[in-house]
Amino acid sequence: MEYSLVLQQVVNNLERHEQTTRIRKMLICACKGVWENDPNKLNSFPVASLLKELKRKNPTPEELKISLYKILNRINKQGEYLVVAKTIFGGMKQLYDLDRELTQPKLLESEPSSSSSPNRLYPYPKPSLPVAPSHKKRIDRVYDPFGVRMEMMTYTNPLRAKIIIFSTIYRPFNFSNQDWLNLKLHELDDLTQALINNYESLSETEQKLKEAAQCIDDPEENTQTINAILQTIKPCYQHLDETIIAEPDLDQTIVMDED
Amino acid sequence: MDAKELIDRYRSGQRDFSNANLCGLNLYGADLMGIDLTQANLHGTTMIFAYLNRAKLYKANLIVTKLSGAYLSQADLRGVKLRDADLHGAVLQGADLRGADLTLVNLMDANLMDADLRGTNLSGANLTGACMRGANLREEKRVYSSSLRGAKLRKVDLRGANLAGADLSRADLSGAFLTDVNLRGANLNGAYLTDANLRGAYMSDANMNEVSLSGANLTNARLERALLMSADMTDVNMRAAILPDANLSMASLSRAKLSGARLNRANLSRANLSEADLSHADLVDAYLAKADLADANLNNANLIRAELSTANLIGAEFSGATMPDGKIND
Repeated sequence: MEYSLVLQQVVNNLERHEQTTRIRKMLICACKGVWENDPNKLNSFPVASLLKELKRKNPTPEELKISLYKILNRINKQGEYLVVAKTIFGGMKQLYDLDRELTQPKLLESEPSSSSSPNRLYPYPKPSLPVAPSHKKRIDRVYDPFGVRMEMMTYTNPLRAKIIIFSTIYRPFNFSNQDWLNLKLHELDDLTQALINNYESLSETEQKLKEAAQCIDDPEENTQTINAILQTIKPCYQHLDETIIAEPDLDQTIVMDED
Repeated sequence: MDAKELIDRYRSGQRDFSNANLCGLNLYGADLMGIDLTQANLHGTTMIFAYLNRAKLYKANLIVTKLSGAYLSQADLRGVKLRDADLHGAVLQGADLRGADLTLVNLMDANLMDADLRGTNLSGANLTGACMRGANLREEKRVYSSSLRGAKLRKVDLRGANLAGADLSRADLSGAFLTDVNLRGANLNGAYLTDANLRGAYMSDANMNEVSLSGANLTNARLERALLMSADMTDVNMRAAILPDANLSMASLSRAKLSGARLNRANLSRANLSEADLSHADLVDAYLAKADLADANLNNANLIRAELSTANLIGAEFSGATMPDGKIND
């Protein structure tokens, strides 16, 4: 399908989404670096242009994820905006996928036995656009959410890992009924990804995890879990360290969403 | 018996607590490894983060228990009643759960690697984010057929798991990791498999009518004789998939990637194959009555004896294809 058609579909989905105002706020923040609460200004930016700009600033899905998590980390309604970030990412993912299809030669996974001439094995046009730099490809290959989750579960208690990560990136888990319900709104996978994207280095993450764990009983178990978390996410960090692209940063203060 | 007495007796060396009545106790974080609770009544007990590794819980009553984060690795949980229990983030690696009633249980982010789940009832259970790698859910005669009817299995890791003959009708498996999974003869009627990774999955004779497979990856999957009637397979990736004798009538396959797929004798009547990539596909004896092949890529496909007389072929490409009468197109 043509790129413009897919883009239009994504735009339509975002514009008709029940959270469309929040989607616009987050898109504007990701593109322009400002948090806009004025409804008139919010509607003055065409969503299609924002999506194009967002993709230009974040050439890979991983970079987009980092950018969205950075914003998420600085706003007050994190739970609500996590859903918004996921919606934006879901839409953008379609554009990245299509890009990959259009810019890379596709070999058949398994060559059919009846192939007659070699050039017929390539049903897609040869790439006309430059192929993405090699470091960007490495991210896709190394980061494997299912692998990370399985390793973490092999070496520690998944629930304790969730509690510690939740306390690190949101607020101390207080074991109240409300917090148990809150924890069920976050999958281990999403919490782990948020943790990876939240801090610039492994040592910073280690420090934050240890600080958060001080508020939770059972120091021995917590140390075991923190070690397992760090061991599991270590390769992803090495990766981010190599690939993070400097971008104009938002002010470090919390951004207040006024709706 | 209260919680203190139980823990004291366990610490003094007692292990056999079979048939004990322990309902409603608070055993948060208790170390009870290897305890024998065969047929015990633990209704409504709190066992969050409890150590129950290798515990014997055969036919125990665990209805509405709180077992979040509990360690149940290699535990004997055969025939237990766990209805409505909370096992959020619990460790059940290598546990034996054959014949257990897990209806409406919460197993979100639980570790179920290598667990034996044959004959369990997981209807309506929440398994979102659970790791079930190597789990066994195979149907064994009639006695042991697992039911995952309507279960929430979003983003579940079921790599290499055995789900042959299992009932997964209306289950939500969107985004699940199902590479090399065995789903032979499974019931996936109306299941939701959007964006699932089913690479190399074994799905012969599976009932997948009305399944949602849009955006799923079924590269190299085996789907001989599978029923895929009225399935939503928009944008599915089925390169080199094996589908002889499959029934895909009325399926929505627009923009599907089916290059090199084997579709001999497949029933594709009334299927929407517009803009689909069927290059190099094997469509010998395929039944394409009233199929929509508008703008489809059939270059180098083999269409010997395929029924094309009522298909919509507007804009379809047939370069190098072997046509129903055996002629090869230029």
